[in-house]
Amino acid sequence: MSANASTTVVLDAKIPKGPIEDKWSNHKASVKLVSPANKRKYTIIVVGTGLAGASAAASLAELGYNVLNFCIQDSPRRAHSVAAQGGINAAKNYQNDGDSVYRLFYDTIKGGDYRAREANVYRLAELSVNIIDQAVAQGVPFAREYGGLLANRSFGGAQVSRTFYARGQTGQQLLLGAYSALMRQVQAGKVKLYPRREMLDLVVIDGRARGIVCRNLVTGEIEKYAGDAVCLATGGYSTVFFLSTNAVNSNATAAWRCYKKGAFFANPCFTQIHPTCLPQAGAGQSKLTLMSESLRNDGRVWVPKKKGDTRPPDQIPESERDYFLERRYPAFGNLVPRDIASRAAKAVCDEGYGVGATGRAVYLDFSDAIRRLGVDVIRERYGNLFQMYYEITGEDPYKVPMRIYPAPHYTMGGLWVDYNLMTTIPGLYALGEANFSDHGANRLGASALMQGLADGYFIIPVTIGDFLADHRPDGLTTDHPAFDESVRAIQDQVRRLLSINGKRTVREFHWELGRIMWDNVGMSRNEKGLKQAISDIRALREEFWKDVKVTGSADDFNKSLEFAGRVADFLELGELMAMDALDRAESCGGHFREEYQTPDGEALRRDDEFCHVSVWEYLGEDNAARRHKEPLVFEYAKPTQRSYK
Amino acid sequence: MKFHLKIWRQAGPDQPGRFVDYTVDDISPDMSFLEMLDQLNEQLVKENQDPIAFDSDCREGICGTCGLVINGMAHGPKLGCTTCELRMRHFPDGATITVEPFRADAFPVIKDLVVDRSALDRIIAAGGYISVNTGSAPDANSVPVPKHVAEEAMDAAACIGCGACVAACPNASASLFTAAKISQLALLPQGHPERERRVIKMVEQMDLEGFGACSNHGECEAACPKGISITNIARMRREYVRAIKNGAAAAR
Amino acid sequence: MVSMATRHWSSTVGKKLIMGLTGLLLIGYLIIHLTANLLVFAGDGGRLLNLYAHTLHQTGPLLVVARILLAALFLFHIVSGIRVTLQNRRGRTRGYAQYASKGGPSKMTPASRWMIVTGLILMVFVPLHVNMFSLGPHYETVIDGQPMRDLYRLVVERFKEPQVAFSYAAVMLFLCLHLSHGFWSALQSLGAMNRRWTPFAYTFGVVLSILLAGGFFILPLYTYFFIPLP
Repeated sequence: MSANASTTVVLDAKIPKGPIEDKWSNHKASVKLVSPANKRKYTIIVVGTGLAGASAAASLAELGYNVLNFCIQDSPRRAHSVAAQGGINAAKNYQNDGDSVYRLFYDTIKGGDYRAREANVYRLAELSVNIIDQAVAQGVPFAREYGGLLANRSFGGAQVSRTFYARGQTGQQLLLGAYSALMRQVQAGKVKLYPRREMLDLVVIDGRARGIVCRNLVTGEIEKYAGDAVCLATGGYSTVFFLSTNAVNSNATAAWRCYKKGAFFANPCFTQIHPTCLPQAGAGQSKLTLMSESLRNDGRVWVPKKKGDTRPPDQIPESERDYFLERRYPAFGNLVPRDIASRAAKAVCDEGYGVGATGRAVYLDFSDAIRRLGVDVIRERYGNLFQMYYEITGEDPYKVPMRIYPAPHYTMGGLWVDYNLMTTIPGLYALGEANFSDHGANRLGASALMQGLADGYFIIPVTIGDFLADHRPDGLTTDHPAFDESVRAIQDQVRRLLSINGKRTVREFHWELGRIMWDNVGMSRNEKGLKQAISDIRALREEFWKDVKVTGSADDFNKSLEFAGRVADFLELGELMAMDALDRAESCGGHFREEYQTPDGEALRRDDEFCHVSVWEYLGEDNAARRHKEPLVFEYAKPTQRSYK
Repeated sequence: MKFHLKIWRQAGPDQPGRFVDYTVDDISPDMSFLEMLDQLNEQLVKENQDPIAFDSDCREGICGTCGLVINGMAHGPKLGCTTCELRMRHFPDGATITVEPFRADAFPVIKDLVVDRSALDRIIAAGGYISVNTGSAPDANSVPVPKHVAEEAMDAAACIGCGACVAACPNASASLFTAAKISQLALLPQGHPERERRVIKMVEQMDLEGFGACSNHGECEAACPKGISITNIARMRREYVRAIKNGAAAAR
Repeated sequence: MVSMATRHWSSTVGKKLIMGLTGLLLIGYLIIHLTANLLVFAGDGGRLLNLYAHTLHQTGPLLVVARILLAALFLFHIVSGIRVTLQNRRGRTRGYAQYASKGGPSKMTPASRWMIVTGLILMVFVPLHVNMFSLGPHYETVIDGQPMRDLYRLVVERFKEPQVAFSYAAVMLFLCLHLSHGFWSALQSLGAMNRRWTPFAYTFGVVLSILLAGGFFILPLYTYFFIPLP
């Protein structure tokens, strides 16, 4: 299971030379270019239409490349970026509160518990300001002050106000901005859009990514597409937990199939459990709903001081409430980073202080804020979130504190990419949540939108040219036998899934996998649990291929078949996550190993041994994956014990 | 809770469809309407039947993927909510519930309750954007936008593109959808340079897709899960008049 | 340029602009028409009504132009209305098994749903109405030494016929329905509405339709029951 040291490689991230603040400008000035007349001879495949995918497809098309853009949804506007609520960070320092590119960089590195790549994060912070400019020019209706200038709010892990927002729908508005830019290029004929397509394989020819094979989700047809490069922007894999804040169609299949074609997978165990979600309710539940972290700006988190206190919250006097985040982390209070807030909530519930029917929830109370600011201000800031909460629970958060509990939300891990966002397969790029690069072991709030858009709008258009300049169009078509080979493999898998005709539904397997993952590879992990998880997942995978029941046909709109393929991949990915978590014998950010904690229960990093990215290579079905390393060097943000006290 | 369901089943776009009766039991009142259908589908798969095809994704009312006509109402009887947000507690125990797809000639049925709404994308492609290439934007604070204008633009921008306005409209008109985008971009100063062209092109596309005209019934606003006001349709018409007034040259 | 302009006016939005504009002008005409008709109630044996009609006829060519314009308004309104309705039918050729309103801010009423029906009834009614009065028998009378047409006598005679009086009154109920949605709808179609004005304009439209149609409704019935033949 552990990596064979003799054959592992040290990955080269191709970080440009020079001081950190000059790296990106130097790089831009030195990359190779493709002339405008030649750009139109290239075809770039972009998979996914979320913030990263749509912004990349639009920006590449604006440059003159021909873009083929794929999504599993019926419209590119529905990609799950749409659900991000709270905001997007940018080092604009419009508030004059001492923010700067350096500070955003530092906060992000520290928030990620010193497991992200410095050069990437600095570039991200640098580009954050351009994103806001771009979005405003596109007509994104960010919140504004009476003077007509942009408003900001604060988010977890920061002591400045640098989060731009559009009510509780920031992700939606930014996505619609990118989507509108994309549709403009569709109209111009530079982007060809392929909705309701699921990418099922990457075609690699002569060691280079040259195309994809997808299933048309309406007709069931397996389709082939060739190109000069492939950009994967297919999001994260939180749905491995079954219940998560992700959309029900969010999946890891595209990235996973690339992994199996030779792209290395980095830090699979780094998952984010978001602290402010609605607690689990019933067995038929299909997802967990997130309540934006921005709520922690004005909401106070507490539990009763008495164990098993069943009094309604308004009958628990102030003196009998434990505002545990404010108590444990006086400097950041309710705005500690997500991993810390989630773990603290889990800890109080584990000790028996939890509230609600299941005892797996804590209060998020707005009564102080309503008293201080008035109900109208609160309604303006969070109206839609409060309404959403009311609709789901039937309780009015203006009167009764919300009940919240952590839920799987985001995956910092993903395909390994170098500074150019290229994976270990030449010509295959990974953007946004699908890659691993910027958030380390924990992502700060309002940084996912920033990263997706930085990758798509500003990074890939520069870096892809550097690759394409050396790889002239060669007239490759989908007639190449490699495409047919992929098609056959997919058809075989589809046939196999449909022919098992066992007793358990796909959903039952997914649910079972989710339980294993949540119990053992969730908010806190230990060696015994992880080993158990690995063997449980293997057993479950075996059972899946013997006993799953998928009805319907291959040549039709068939949801069960779609889900079956995704769950099959999750059953492999889940194992890799557990292996990575076991291998990383330290605690950092969202990865909390019970064996490694400080006396007061905080994550204990082991920089001497684990200051690296764990990068996994697929070695075939019958072999364990091999772990490689990318060492992390911190020249500017020197690793310290993270403290939010 | 127990429910009797009359659900529209249609094997494909050109196949005839019909209602099929189902019964579901042990439904928790906190379940969403789609979770109730999930449970029914689990049951159908176990009985070797083809599960009911319906679209859904985020399950929190923001992606706009889901959309069913429940008891004759787009997204069901509750105001300001999508099908995925609708909880079963809003139905009396033992009720019979009719479920149909969004019906409009511009939204052909793909299978069962799944329809093709790509017409809406084409309306946006026709002009629902501000032509600004990546990298060419001025500083975000260089153009102040009055707070109330930004708020009103946001009200219009809240559209999730689900198509409930079309489904609910007696004429299957896409006016509210189209107007919401036109309105958002007409309110913001950034959208002004191409406002004439935008409204002409988008209305043209809307008509080409075969949607009906707006008869000002206001049923779209009632069905809109985001409560987008038909005031936006009035603004679209003002924009249209303005475009005609300012001449075809600007609109070309 | 011309074809571009016609294209704009024949879009769904353009057609509704025409509907709204012609509709509002027709309402304006109805207000004048009703005011004049109320002269029947003057109790002066038709003196004021006849004088009004006479003065109008004195304008000669102007009246002809006005009548042509009015007829054009009417025709444009009808043609647009029918075209829009046909297009709307094509919007959904397979209907719902069950269809219901969600209420809330909806302004859907039987009036809004039946605009084409009430409109077609009015379309049939108006020519009959013009034929009955404007083109009806030419009675003569002398007022203040001036010979002129005795329109009053014609009106009272016709409304003494019960089938005329009651069918007129009935048609006015349809007019009321048509206008109760029509007034607000015209303003909305012309883009004149905003969030603040909509509730006011809507209520005003309903009140206006009741007053206008009410006036036209009472006229034949009052005449039938209370006004003696001259």
